[in-house]
Amino acid sequence: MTKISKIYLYILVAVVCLWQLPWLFNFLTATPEERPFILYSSAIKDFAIRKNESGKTVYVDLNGNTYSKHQYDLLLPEYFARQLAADKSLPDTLFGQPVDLKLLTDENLTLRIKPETVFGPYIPLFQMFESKSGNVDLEMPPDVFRLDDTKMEFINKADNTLNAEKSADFTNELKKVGFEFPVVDVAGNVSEKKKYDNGYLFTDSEGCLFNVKMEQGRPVVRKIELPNGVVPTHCFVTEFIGRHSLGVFFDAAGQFYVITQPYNKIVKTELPPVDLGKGDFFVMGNMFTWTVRVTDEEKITWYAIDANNFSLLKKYYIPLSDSHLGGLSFLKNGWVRVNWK
Amino acid sequence: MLKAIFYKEFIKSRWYYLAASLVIVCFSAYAGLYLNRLAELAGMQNLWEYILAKNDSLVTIIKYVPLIAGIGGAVSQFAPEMYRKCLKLTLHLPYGHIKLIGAMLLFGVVALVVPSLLAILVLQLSIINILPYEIRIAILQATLPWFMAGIAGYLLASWVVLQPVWKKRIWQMVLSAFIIKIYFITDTPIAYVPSLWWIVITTPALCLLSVLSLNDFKEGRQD
Repeated sequence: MTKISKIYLYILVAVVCLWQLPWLFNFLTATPEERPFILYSSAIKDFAIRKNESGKTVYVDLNGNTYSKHQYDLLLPEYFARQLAADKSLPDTLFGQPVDLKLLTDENLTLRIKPETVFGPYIPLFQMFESKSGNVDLEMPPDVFRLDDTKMEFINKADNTLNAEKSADFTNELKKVGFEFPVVDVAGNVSEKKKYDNGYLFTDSEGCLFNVKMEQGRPVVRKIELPNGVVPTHCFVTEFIGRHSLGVFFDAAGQFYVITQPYNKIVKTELPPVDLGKGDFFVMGNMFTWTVRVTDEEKITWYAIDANNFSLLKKYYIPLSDSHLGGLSFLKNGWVRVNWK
Repeated sequence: MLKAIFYKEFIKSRWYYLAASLVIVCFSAYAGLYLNRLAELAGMQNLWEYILAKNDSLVTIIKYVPLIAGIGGAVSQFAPEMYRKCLKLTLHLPYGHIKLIGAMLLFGVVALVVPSLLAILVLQLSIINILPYEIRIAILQATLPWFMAGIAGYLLASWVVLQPVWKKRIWQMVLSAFIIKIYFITDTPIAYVPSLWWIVITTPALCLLSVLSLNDFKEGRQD
Protein backbone atom coordinates (compact mmCIF):
# COMPACT_ATOMS: atom_id res chain seq x y z
CA MET A 1 0.00 0.00 0.00
CA THR A 2 2.89 2.34 0.84
CA LYS A 3 4.34 1.72 -2.62
CA ILE A 4 1.04 2.55 -4.33
CA SER A 5 0.70 5.66 -2.17
CA LYS A 6 4.19 6.79 -3.11
CA ILE A 7 3.53 6.23 -6.82
CA TYR A 8 0.32 8.25 -6.56
CA LEU A 9 2.18 11.04 -4.77
CA TYR A 10 4.88 11.11 -7.46
CA ILE A 11 2.21 11.27 -10.16
CA LEU A 12 0.57 14.23 -8.39
CA VAL A 13 3.92 16.00 -8.00
CA ALA A 14 4.72 15.39 -11.68
CA VAL A 15 1.31 16.72 -12.78
CA VAL A 16 1.65 19.87 -10.66
CA CYS A 17 5.23 20.47 -11.89
CA LEU A 18 4.33 19.95 -15.56
CA TRP A 19 1.40 22.31 -15.09
CA GLN A 20 2.79 25.09 -12.92
CA LEU A 21 6.51 25.30 -13.82
CA PRO A 22 6.02 26.00 -17.57
CA TRP A 23 3.28 28.46 -16.63
CA LEU A 24 5.66 30.25 -14.23
CA PHE A 25 8.43 30.29 -16.86
CA ASN A 26 6.08 31.70 -19.51
CA PHE A 27 4.69 34.24 -17.04
CA LEU A 28 8.15 35.50 -16.08
CA THR A 29 9.65 35.52 -19.57
CA ALA A 30 6.68 36.91 -21.53
CA THR A 31 7.60 39.95 -23.59
CA PRO A 32 5.29 42.33 -25.47
CA GLU A 33 4.91 41.21 -29.06
CA GLU A 34 4.32 43.67 -31.87
CA ARG A 35 1.15 42.76 -33.70
CA PRO A 36 0.53 45.18 -36.56
CA PHE A 37 -2.95 46.21 -37.65
CA ILE A 38 -3.27 45.26 -41.29
CA LEU A 39 -6.04 45.90 -43.81
CA TYR A 40 -6.08 45.40 -47.55
CA SER A 41 -6.19 48.62 -49.50
CA SER A 42 -7.93 48.44 -52.87
CA ALA A 43 -6.32 51.77 -53.74
CA ILE A 44 -2.76 50.41 -53.79
CA LYS A 45 -3.70 46.74 -54.18
CA ASP A 46 -1.52 45.98 -51.20
CA PHE A 47 -1.81 45.59 -47.45
CA ALA A 48 -1.76 48.88 -45.52
CA ILE A 49 0.00 48.40 -42.21
CA ARG A 50 -0.25 50.39 -39.00
CA LYS A 51 2.38 49.43 -36.49
CA ASN A 52 4.36 50.68 -33.55
CA GLU A 53 8.06 51.40 -33.92
CA SER A 54 9.97 52.73 -30.92
CA GLY A 55 6.79 54.04 -29.36
CA LYS A 56 5.73 55.82 -32.54
CA THR A 57 2.87 54.79 -34.82
CA VAL A 58 4.00 54.33 -38.42
CA TYR A 59 1.95 53.63 -41.55
CA VAL A 60 3.55 51.55 -44.28
CA ASP A 61 2.72 49.06 -47.02
CA LEU A 62 4.42 45.80 -47.92
CA ASN A 63 6.64 47.56 -50.48
CA GLY A 64 8.15 49.71 -47.75
CA ASN A 65 6.37 52.95 -48.68
CA THR A 66 5.67 55.17 -45.68
CA TYR A 67 2.48 57.18 -45.29
CA SER A 68 1.18 59.94 -43.04
CA LYS A 69 -1.96 59.30 -40.97
CA HIS A 70 -4.09 61.21 -43.50
CA GLN A 71 -2.56 59.32 -46.43
CA TYR A 72 -3.22 56.06 -44.59
CA ASP A 73 -6.88 57.06 -44.16
CA LEU A 74 -7.04 57.77 -47.88
CA LEU A 75 -5.63 54.31 -48.62
CA LEU A 76 -8.57 52.82 -46.72
CA PRO A 77 -11.47 55.21 -47.36
CA GLU A 78 -14.02 52.41 -46.82
CA TYR A 79 -12.91 51.99 -43.19
CA PHE A 80 -12.00 55.58 -42.34
CA ALA A 81 -14.92 57.23 -44.13
CA ARG A 82 -16.02 59.13 -41.03
CA GLN A 83 -12.57 60.65 -40.52
CA LEU A 84 -12.30 61.53 -44.22
CA ALA A 85 -15.78 63.08 -44.15
CA ALA A 86 -14.74 65.15 -41.12
CA ASP A 87 -11.60 66.21 -43.04
CA LYS A 88 -13.81 66.98 -46.07
CA SER A 89 -11.70 64.64 -48.17
CA LEU A 90 -14.09 61.73 -48.64
CA PRO A 91 -14.13 60.85 -52.36
CA ASP A 92 -17.52 60.77 -54.05
CA THR A 93 -16.60 57.78 -56.20
CA LEU A 94 -14.47 54.75 -55.47
CA PHE A 95 -13.32 52.53 -58.32
CA GLY A 96 -15.99 54.02 -60.55
CA GLN A 97 -18.78 53.52 -58.03
CA PRO A 98 -20.54 56.52 -56.46
CA VAL A 99 -20.20 56.40 -52.68
CA ASP A 100 -21.16 58.44 -49.66
CA LEU A 101 -20.53 58.17 -45.94
CA LYS A 102 -23.68 56.15 -45.23
CA LEU A 103 -23.06 53.64 -48.00
CA LEU A 104 -19.45 53.08 -46.98
CA THR A 105 -20.18 52.65 -43.27
CA ASP A 106 -23.23 50.44 -43.93
CA GLU A 107 -21.21 48.12 -46.14
CA ASN A 108 -18.49 47.58 -43.52
CA LEU A 109 -18.58 44.31 -41.64
CA THR A 110 -16.68 42.47 -38.95
CA LEU A 111 -16.85 38.82 -37.99
CA ARG A 112 -14.78 37.28 -35.21
CA ILE A 113 -14.75 33.54 -34.58
CA LYS A 114 -12.81 32.36 -31.54
CA PRO A 115 -12.06 28.69 -30.79
CA GLU A 116 -14.13 28.88 -27.59
CA THR A 117 -17.09 30.24 -29.60
CA VAL A 118 -17.01 27.18 -31.82
CA PHE A 119 -15.90 24.47 -29.44
CA GLY A 120 -16.62 25.98 -25.99
CA PRO A 121 -19.27 24.93 -23.48
CA TYR A 122 -22.76 26.36 -23.74
CA ILE A 123 -26.19 25.58 -22.36
CA PRO A 124 -28.18 24.01 -25.23
CA LEU A 125 -31.09 26.44 -25.17
CA PHE A 126 -31.55 28.97 -27.96
CA GLN A 127 -33.70 32.04 -28.54
CA MET A 128 -35.67 32.67 -31.72
CA PHE A 129 -36.26 36.33 -32.50
CA GLU A 130 -39.28 37.63 -34.37
CA SER A 131 -37.74 38.57 -37.73
CA LYS A 132 -40.69 40.49 -39.11
CA SER A 133 -42.26 42.29 -36.18
CA GLY A 134 -42.61 45.59 -38.00
CA ASN A 135 -40.66 47.28 -35.19
CA VAL A 136 -37.28 48.84 -35.88
CA ASP A 137 -35.71 47.37 -32.76
CA LEU A 138 -35.60 43.69 -31.96
CA GLU A 139 -37.02 42.43 -28.69
CA MET A 140 -35.79 39.48 -26.66
CA PRO A 141 -38.15 36.57 -27.33
CA PRO A 142 -40.49 35.40 -24.54
CA ASP A 143 -39.34 31.80 -24.92
CA VAL A 144 -36.32 29.61 -25.54
CA PHE A 145 -36.13 26.53 -27.71
CA ARG A 146 -34.38 23.19 -27.42
CA LEU A 147 -33.72 20.58 -30.07
CA ASP A 148 -33.84 16.93 -29.20
CA ASP A 149 -33.64 13.81 -31.35
CA THR A 150 -37.12 14.16 -32.80
CA LYS A 151 -38.47 17.66 -32.27
CA MET A 152 -38.01 21.37 -31.60
CA GLU A 153 -39.55 22.54 -28.33
CA PHE A 154 -40.33 26.06 -27.14
CA ILE A 155 -40.44 26.77 -23.39
CA ASN A 156 -42.03 29.94 -22.06
CA LYS A 157 -39.61 31.97 -19.98
CA ALA A 158 -42.39 33.48 -17.87
CA ASP A 159 -43.62 30.23 -16.32
CA ASN A 160 -41.22 27.48 -17.48
CA THR A 161 -43.96 25.69 -19.41
CA LEU A 162 -43.89 24.07 -22.81
CA ASN A 163 -45.50 25.96 -25.68
CA ALA A 164 -46.88 22.85 -27.35
CA GLU A 165 -48.55 24.61 -30.27
CA LYS A 166 -45.47 26.59 -31.32
CA SER A 167 -43.26 23.53 -30.81
CA ALA A 168 -45.49 21.45 -33.09
CA ASP A 169 -45.61 24.25 -35.71
CA PHE A 170 -41.84 24.50 -35.95
CA THR A 171 -41.25 20.74 -35.80
CA ASN A 172 -43.81 20.12 -38.57
CA GLU A 173 -42.43 22.92 -40.72
CA LEU A 174 -38.90 21.54 -40.37
CA LYS A 175 -40.05 18.05 -41.31
CA LYS A 176 -42.08 19.43 -44.21
CA VAL A 177 -38.99 20.84 -45.91
CA GLY A 178 -37.03 17.62 -45.38
CA PHE A 179 -35.16 18.31 -42.14
CA GLU A 180 -33.93 15.06 -40.59
CA PHE A 181 -33.62 15.12 -36.81
CA PRO A 182 -31.40 15.21 -34.78
CA VAL A 183 -29.77 18.55 -35.44
CA VAL A 184 -25.98 18.47 -35.76
CA ASP A 185 -25.10 22.17 -35.69
CA VAL A 186 -27.08 25.22 -34.57
CA ALA A 187 -25.91 28.75 -35.29
CA GLY A 188 -27.50 32.08 -34.49
CA ASN A 189 -26.82 35.40 -32.84
CA VAL A 190 -28.64 36.16 -29.60
CA SER A 191 -28.63 39.92 -29.20
CA GLU A 192 -31.45 42.41 -29.39
CA LYS A 193 -28.83 45.00 -30.40
CA LYS A 194 -28.37 43.54 -33.88
CA LYS A 195 -29.91 45.53 -36.71
CA TYR A 196 -32.12 42.75 -38.04
CA ASP A 197 -32.59 39.03 -37.62
CA ASN A 198 -31.51 36.30 -40.02
CA GLY A 199 -32.73 33.53 -37.72
CA TYR A 200 -30.76 30.33 -37.32
CA LEU A 201 -28.75 27.97 -39.48
CA PHE A 202 -29.41 24.30 -38.67
CA THR A 203 -27.41 21.41 -40.06
CA ASP A 204 -29.39 18.19 -39.93
CA SER A 205 -28.25 14.59 -39.45
CA GLU A 206 -27.80 14.20 -43.21
CA GLY A 207 -25.55 17.24 -43.52
CA CYS A 208 -28.21 19.45 -45.14
CA LEU A 209 -28.36 23.14 -44.28
CA PHE A 210 -31.54 25.01 -43.30
CA ASN A 211 -32.35 28.61 -42.48
CA VAL A 212 -34.97 28.73 -39.70
CA LYS A 213 -36.72 31.98 -38.84
CA MET A 214 -39.86 33.19 -37.17
CA GLU A 215 -41.92 35.73 -39.10
CA GLN A 216 -45.10 37.11 -37.53
CA GLY A 217 -45.03 34.23 -35.06
CA ARG A 218 -44.97 31.60 -37.82
CA PRO A 219 -42.06 29.31 -38.67
CA VAL A 220 -40.20 29.99 -41.90
CA VAL A 221 -37.82 27.21 -42.88
CA ARG A 222 -35.77 27.25 -46.07
CA LYS A 223 -33.48 24.50 -47.24
CA ILE A 224 -30.23 25.90 -48.59
CA GLU A 225 -28.97 24.04 -51.62
CA LEU A 226 -25.38 22.97 -51.09
CA PRO A 227 -22.86 22.20 -53.83
CA ASN A 228 -22.25 18.48 -54.35
CA GLY A 229 -20.20 16.91 -51.58
CA VAL A 230 -20.17 20.00 -49.34
CA VAL A 231 -21.18 19.34 -45.72
CA PRO A 232 -21.14 22.31 -43.33
CA THR A 233 -19.60 21.57 -39.95
CA HIS A 234 -19.41 25.01 -38.32
CA CYS A 235 -21.99 27.62 -39.37
CA PHE A 236 -22.26 31.27 -38.39
CA VAL A 237 -25.19 33.57 -39.10
CA THR A 238 -24.16 37.01 -40.33
CA GLU A 239 -26.35 40.02 -39.75
CA PHE A 240 -24.26 42.67 -41.50
CA ILE A 241 -26.01 45.93 -42.28
CA GLY A 242 -25.28 45.51 -45.98
CA ARG A 243 -27.41 42.31 -46.05
CA HIS A 244 -25.24 40.66 -48.71
CA SER A 245 -24.95 37.39 -46.83
CA LEU A 246 -27.05 35.10 -44.70
CA GLY A 247 -24.09 33.45 -43.05
CA VAL A 248 -20.79 31.72 -43.50
CA PHE A 249 -19.68 28.18 -42.82
CA PHE A 250 -16.67 25.89 -42.76
CA ASP A 251 -16.70 22.31 -43.98
CA ALA A 252 -14.87 19.41 -42.32
CA ALA A 253 -11.66 20.27 -44.18
CA GLY A 254 -11.82 23.88 -42.92
CA GLN A 255 -12.80 25.35 -46.27
CA PHE A 256 -14.58 28.70 -45.85
CA TYR A 257 -17.89 29.35 -47.66
CA VAL A 258 -20.23 32.35 -47.79
CA ILE A 259 -24.01 32.06 -48.14
CA THR A 260 -24.75 35.08 -50.27
CA GLN A 261 -28.10 36.85 -50.41
CA PRO A 262 -30.67 37.38 -51.78
CA TYR A 263 -30.69 33.86 -53.30
CA ASN A 264 -28.79 31.93 -50.58
CA LYS A 265 -26.14 30.95 -53.12
CA ILE A 266 -23.13 29.17 -51.67
CA VAL A 267 -19.80 30.64 -52.74
CA LYS A 268 -16.57 28.84 -51.92
CA THR A 269 -13.89 31.34 -51.00
CA GLU A 270 -10.31 30.92 -52.16
CA LEU A 271 -9.01 30.92 -48.59
CA PRO A 272 -6.90 27.86 -47.81
CA PRO A 273 -8.46 25.51 -45.21
CA VAL A 274 -8.57 26.95 -41.70
CA ASP A 275 -8.37 25.06 -38.40
CA LEU A 276 -10.79 26.97 -36.16
CA GLY A 277 -9.53 25.16 -33.08
CA LYS A 278 -6.07 26.71 -33.36
CA GLY A 279 -6.82 30.40 -33.05
CA ASP A 280 -8.88 33.45 -33.96
CA PHE A 281 -10.53 33.89 -37.34
CA PHE A 282 -11.26 37.56 -37.91
CA VAL A 283 -12.85 39.25 -40.91
CA MET A 284 -13.00 42.97 -41.53
CA GLY A 285 -14.67 43.77 -44.78
CA ASN A 286 -16.03 46.55 -46.94
CA MET A 287 -18.00 46.75 -50.17
CA PHE A 288 -14.95 45.85 -52.27
CA THR A 289 -12.71 43.52 -50.28
CA TRP A 290 -12.54 41.50 -47.11
CA THR A 291 -9.37 41.27 -45.03
CA VAL A 292 -9.27 37.93 -43.22
CA ARG A 293 -6.85 37.46 -40.35
CA VAL A 294 -6.13 33.88 -39.29
CA THR A 295 -4.10 33.33 -36.13
CA ASP A 296 -2.57 30.05 -35.03
CA GLU A 297 0.28 29.06 -32.70
CA GLU A 298 3.01 29.72 -35.27
CA LYS A 299 1.88 32.71 -37.31
CA ILE A 300 -0.67 35.35 -38.14
CA THR A 301 -1.79 35.31 -41.77
CA TRP A 302 -3.74 38.01 -43.54
CA TYR A 303 -5.70 37.23 -46.69
CA ALA A 304 -7.36 39.78 -48.93
CA ILE A 305 -10.40 38.43 -50.77
CA ASP A 306 -12.70 40.05 -53.28
CA ALA A 307 -16.05 40.89 -51.65
CA ASN A 308 -18.00 39.94 -54.77
CA ASN A 309 -16.55 36.63 -55.96
CA PHE A 310 -14.40 35.79 -52.87
CA SER A 311 -11.30 35.14 -54.94
CA LEU A 312 -7.95 35.49 -53.21
CA LEU A 313 -6.22 38.79 -53.95
CA LYS A 314 -3.19 38.76 -51.68
CA LYS A 315 -1.67 36.96 -48.72
CA TYR A 316 0.83 38.02 -46.05
CA TYR A 317 1.98 36.46 -42.81
CA ILE A 318 4.24 37.14 -39.87
CA PRO A 319 5.68 34.34 -37.75
CA LEU A 320 5.05 34.40 -34.02
CA SER A 321 7.91 33.89 -31.59
CA ASP A 322 8.04 30.37 -30.23
CA SER A 323 9.53 31.20 -26.82
CA HIS A 324 6.45 29.66 -25.21
CA LEU A 325 7.37 26.66 -23.08
CA GLY A 326 4.92 23.82 -23.49
CA GLY A 327 3.25 22.41 -20.41
CA LEU A 328 0.19 20.70 -19.04
CA SER A 329 -2.99 22.72 -19.12
CA PHE A 330 -6.43 22.05 -17.68
CA LEU A 331 -8.34 24.49 -19.85
CA LYS A 332 -8.98 24.15 -23.57
CA ASN A 333 -11.50 26.22 -25.48
CA GLY A 334 -13.42 26.88 -22.28
CA TRP A 335 -13.60 23.20 -21.28
CA VAL A 336 -11.73 21.78 -18.32
CA ARG A 337 -9.73 18.95 -19.85
CA VAL A 338 -6.15 17.82 -19.64
CA ASN A 339 -4.14 18.93 -22.65
CA TRP A 340 -0.59 19.83 -23.62
CA LYS A 341 -0.24 23.48 -24.51
CA MET B 1 -14.08 -3.06 14.87
CA LEU B 2 -15.17 -0.91 11.93
CA LYS B 3 -18.32 -0.05 13.84
CA ALA B 4 -16.25 0.86 16.91
CA ILE B 5 -13.95 3.12 14.89
CA PHE B 6 -16.93 4.80 13.30
CA TYR B 7 -18.41 5.31 16.76
CA LYS B 8 -15.12 6.76 18.04
CA GLU B 9 -15.00 9.19 15.12
CA PHE B 10 -18.67 10.02 15.62
CA ILE B 11 -18.14 10.88 19.30
CA LYS B 12 -15.10 12.98 18.44
CA SER B 13 -16.42 15.01 15.55
CA ARG B 14 -20.21 14.78 15.65
CA TRP B 15 -20.79 18.43 16.57
CA TYR B 16 -18.39 19.64 13.92
CA TYR B 17 -19.96 17.55 11.17
CA LEU B 18 -23.46 18.51 12.31
CA ALA B 19 -22.55 22.19 12.11
CA ALA B 20 -20.72 21.73 8.79
CA SER B 21 -23.65 19.82 7.32
CA LEU B 22 -26.02 22.59 8.39
CA VAL B 23 -23.77 25.22 6.82
CA ILE B 24 -23.43 23.28 3.53
CA VAL B 25 -27.18 22.68 3.25
CA CYS B 26 -28.04 26.24 4.35
CA PHE B 27 -25.70 27.80 1.78
CA SER B 28 -27.24 25.59 -0.88
CA ALA B 29 -30.74 26.51 0.24
CA TYR B 30 -29.73 30.17 0.19
CA ALA B 31 -28.42 29.81 -3.38
CA GLY B 32 -31.78 28.29 -4.35
CA LEU B 33 -33.66 31.03 -2.53
CA TYR B 34 -31.46 33.66 -4.21
CA LEU B 35 -32.38 32.31 -7.66
CA ASN B 36 -36.07 32.23 -6.67
CA ARG B 37 -35.95 35.82 -5.41
CA LEU B 38 -34.18 36.90 -8.61
CA ALA B 39 -36.91 35.20 -10.63
CA GLU B 40 -39.53 37.02 -8.59
CA LEU B 41 -37.90 40.45 -8.52
CA ALA B 42 -36.17 40.63 -11.91
CA GLY B 43 -38.53 38.23 -13.68
CA MET B 44 -37.89 34.72 -14.90
CA GLN B 45 -37.35 36.01 -18.41
CA ASN B 46 -34.44 38.21 -17.31
CA LEU B 47 -33.03 35.43 -15.14
CA TRP B 48 -32.98 32.94 -18.02
CA GLU B 49 -31.53 35.48 -20.41
CA TYR B 50 -28.78 36.40 -17.97
CA ILE B 51 -27.78 32.79 -17.33
CA LEU B 52 -27.80 31.93 -21.06
CA ALA B 53 -26.00 35.09 -22.18
CA LYS B 54 -23.34 35.11 -19.47
CA ASN B 55 -23.04 31.33 -19.06
CA ASP B 56 -23.22 32.00 -15.33
CA SER B 57 -24.67 29.52 -12.84
CA LEU B 58 -25.40 32.32 -10.31
CA VAL B 59 -24.74 29.94 -7.40
CA THR B 60 -21.07 30.73 -6.80
CA ILE B 61 -21.91 31.59 -3.18
CA ILE B 62 -21.54 27.89 -2.35
CA LYS B 63 -18.25 27.56 -4.24
CA TYR B 64 -15.79 27.33 -1.32
CA VAL B 65 -18.20 26.09 1.38
CA PRO B 66 -17.65 22.33 0.82
CA LEU B 67 -13.87 22.89 0.65
CA ILE B 68 -13.79 24.77 3.96
CA ALA B 69 -16.09 22.15 5.51
CA GLY B 70 -13.80 19.38 4.26
CA ILE B 71 -10.62 20.96 5.61
CA GLY B 72 -12.39 21.64 8.92
CA GLY B 73 -13.52 18.00 9.03
CA ALA B 74 -9.95 16.74 8.75
CA VAL B 75 -8.77 19.13 11.45
CA SER B 76 -11.65 18.18 13.77
CA GLN B 77 -10.93 14.47 13.33
CA PHE B 78 -7.15 14.33 13.29
CA ALA B 79 -5.81 17.43 15.07
CA PRO B 80 -6.99 16.21 18.53
CA GLU B 81 -5.43 12.78 17.81
CA MET B 82 -2.12 14.41 16.94
CA TYR B 83 -2.19 17.07 19.65
CA ARG B 84 -3.13 14.68 22.48
CA LYS B 85 -0.96 11.92 20.98
CA CYS B 86 -4.01 9.62 20.96
CA LEU B 87 -3.15 8.37 17.49
CA LYS B 88 -0.43 6.24 19.05
CA LEU B 89 -3.06 4.58 21.24
CA THR B 90 -5.44 4.20 18.32
CA LEU B 91 -2.73 2.41 16.35
CA HIS B 92 -2.50 -0.13 19.16
CA LEU B 93 -6.02 -1.30 18.47
CA PRO B 94 -6.15 -4.87 17.13
CA TYR B 95 -6.88 -3.73 13.58
CA GLY B 96 -4.59 -3.23 10.59
CA HIS B 97 -3.15 0.28 10.43
CA ILE B 98 -4.20 0.79 6.84
CA LYS B 99 -7.71 -0.45 7.62
CA LEU B 100 -7.78 1.77 10.68
CA ILE B 101 -6.85 4.97 8.87
CA GLY B 102 -9.09 3.92 5.99
CA ALA B 103 -12.06 3.58 8.35
CA MET B 104 -11.36 6.96 9.93
CA LEU B 105 -11.15 8.62 6.50
CA LEU B 106 -14.23 6.77 5.30
CA PHE B 107 -16.19 8.19 8.21
CA GLY B 108 -15.14 11.72 7.25
CA VAL B 109 -15.88 11.18 3.58
CA VAL B 110 -19.35 9.82 4.35
CA ALA B 111 -19.94 12.70 6.76
CA LEU B 112 -19.22 15.10 3.88
CA VAL B 113 -20.89 13.19 1.05
CA VAL B 114 -24.26 12.94 2.84
CA PRO B 115 -24.74 16.71 3.38
CA SER B 116 -23.30 17.38 -0.09
CA LEU B 117 -25.92 15.13 -1.69
CA LEU B 118 -28.58 16.74 0.48
CA ALA B 119 -27.35 20.20 -0.55
CA ILE B 120 -27.47 19.25 -4.24
CA LEU B 121 -30.99 17.89 -3.76
CA VAL B 122 -32.15 21.03 -1.92
CA LEU B 123 -30.73 23.30 -4.62
CA GLN B 124 -32.17 21.27 -7.49
CA LEU B 125 -35.62 21.02 -5.87
CA SER B 126 -35.70 24.72 -5.09
CA ILE B 127 -35.16 25.69 -8.75
CA ILE B 128 -37.25 22.99 -10.39
CA ASN B 129 -40.15 25.38 -11.09
CA ILE B 130 -38.21 28.40 -12.23
CA LEU B 131 -35.53 26.98 -14.51
CA PRO B 132 -35.67 24.55 -17.42
CA TYR B 133 -33.98 21.17 -17.31
CA GLU B 134 -30.91 22.28 -19.31
CA ILE B 135 -30.09 25.13 -16.91
CA ARG B 136 -30.72 22.94 -13.86
CA ILE B 137 -28.31 20.33 -15.23
CA ALA B 138 -25.77 23.06 -16.00
CA ILE B 139 -26.02 24.30 -12.40
CA LEU B 140 -25.56 20.74 -11.14
CA GLN B 141 -22.50 20.30 -13.35
CA ALA B 142 -21.11 23.64 -12.14
CA THR B 143 -21.48 22.69 -8.47
CA LEU B 144 -20.21 19.08 -8.68
CA PRO B 145 -16.48 20.03 -8.82
CA TRP B 146 -17.00 22.26 -5.76
CA PHE B 147 -18.49 19.39 -3.77
CA MET B 148 -15.70 17.11 -5.00
CA ALA B 149 -13.26 19.81 -3.80
CA GLY B 150 -14.77 19.31 -0.34
CA ILE B 151 -13.78 15.63 -0.40
CA ALA B 152 -10.35 16.48 -1.86
CA GLY B 153 -9.85 19.20 0.76
CA TYR B 154 -10.72 16.73 3.50
CA LEU B 155 -8.34 13.99 2.24
CA LEU B 156 -5.48 16.41 1.58
CA ALA B 157 -5.94 18.17 4.93
CA SER B 158 -5.92 14.73 6.63
CA TRP B 159 -2.63 13.98 4.88
CA VAL B 160 -1.18 17.27 6.16
CA VAL B 161 -2.55 17.03 9.72
CA LEU B 162 -1.41 13.41 10.15
CA GLN B 163 2.10 14.33 9.04
CA PRO B 164 4.26 14.65 12.19
CA VAL B 165 7.17 16.47 10.47
CA TRP B 166 6.54 20.19 10.06
CA LYS B 167 8.92 20.64 7.13
CA LYS B 168 7.03 17.95 5.22
CA ARG B 169 3.73 19.49 6.27
CA ILE B 170 4.65 22.75 4.56
CA TRP B 171 5.44 21.25 1.17
CA GLN B 172 2.38 19.02 1.48
CA MET B 173 0.28 22.15 2.01
CA VAL B 174 1.79 23.77 -1.07
CA LEU B 175 1.15 20.68 -3.21
CA SER B 176 -2.38 20.42 -1.79
CA ALA B 177 -3.10 24.04 -2.70
CA PHE B 178 -2.17 23.36 -6.33
CA ILE B 179 -4.26 20.18 -6.43
CA ILE B 180 -7.25 22.05 -4.99
CA LYS B 181 -6.80 24.71 -7.69
CA ILE B 182 -7.80 22.10 -10.30
CA TYR B 183 -11.33 22.04 -8.85
CA PHE B 184 -11.73 25.81 -9.31
CA ILE B 185 -10.31 26.43 -12.78
CA THR B 186 -13.51 27.95 -14.13
CA ASP B 187 -17.03 28.73 -12.93
CA THR B 188 -18.54 28.19 -16.37
CA PRO B 189 -21.40 25.69 -16.04
CA ILE B 190 -20.80 22.38 -17.85
CA ALA B 191 -17.12 23.24 -18.47
CA TYR B 192 -16.09 20.35 -16.20
CA VAL B 193 -18.19 17.75 -18.05
CA PRO B 194 -15.24 16.15 -19.96
CA SER B 195 -13.23 15.96 -16.72
CA LEU B 196 -15.81 14.79 -14.20
CA TRP B 197 -14.97 11.12 -14.72
CA TRP B 198 -11.29 11.51 -13.82
CA ILE B 199 -12.09 13.88 -10.97
CA VAL B 200 -14.46 11.26 -9.54
CA ILE B 201 -11.73 8.59 -9.88
CA THR B 202 -8.73 10.56 -8.65
CA THR B 203 -10.37 12.38 -5.73
CA PRO B 204 -11.09 9.30 -3.53
CA ALA B 205 -7.59 8.04 -4.40
CA LEU B 206 -6.17 11.01 -2.43
CA CYS B 207 -6.82 8.92 0.70
CA LEU B 208 -3.69 6.95 -0.28
CA LEU B 209 -1.56 9.94 0.74
CA SER B 210 -2.53 9.62 4.40
CA VAL B 211 -0.81 6.23 4.45
CA LEU B 212 2.51 8.03 3.89
CA SER B 213 1.91 10.42 6.79
CA LEU B 214 0.90 7.47 8.95
CA ASN B 215 4.17 5.71 8.06
CA ASP B 216 6.15 8.77 9.17
CA PHE B 217 4.16 8.83 12.40
CA LYS B 218 4.69 5.12 13.06
CA GLU B 219 8.41 5.49 12.45
CA GLY B 220 8.48 8.23 15.07
CA ARG B 221 9.73 10.96 12.70
CA GLN B 222 9.36 14.39 14.24
CA ASP B 223 11.08 17.77 14.10
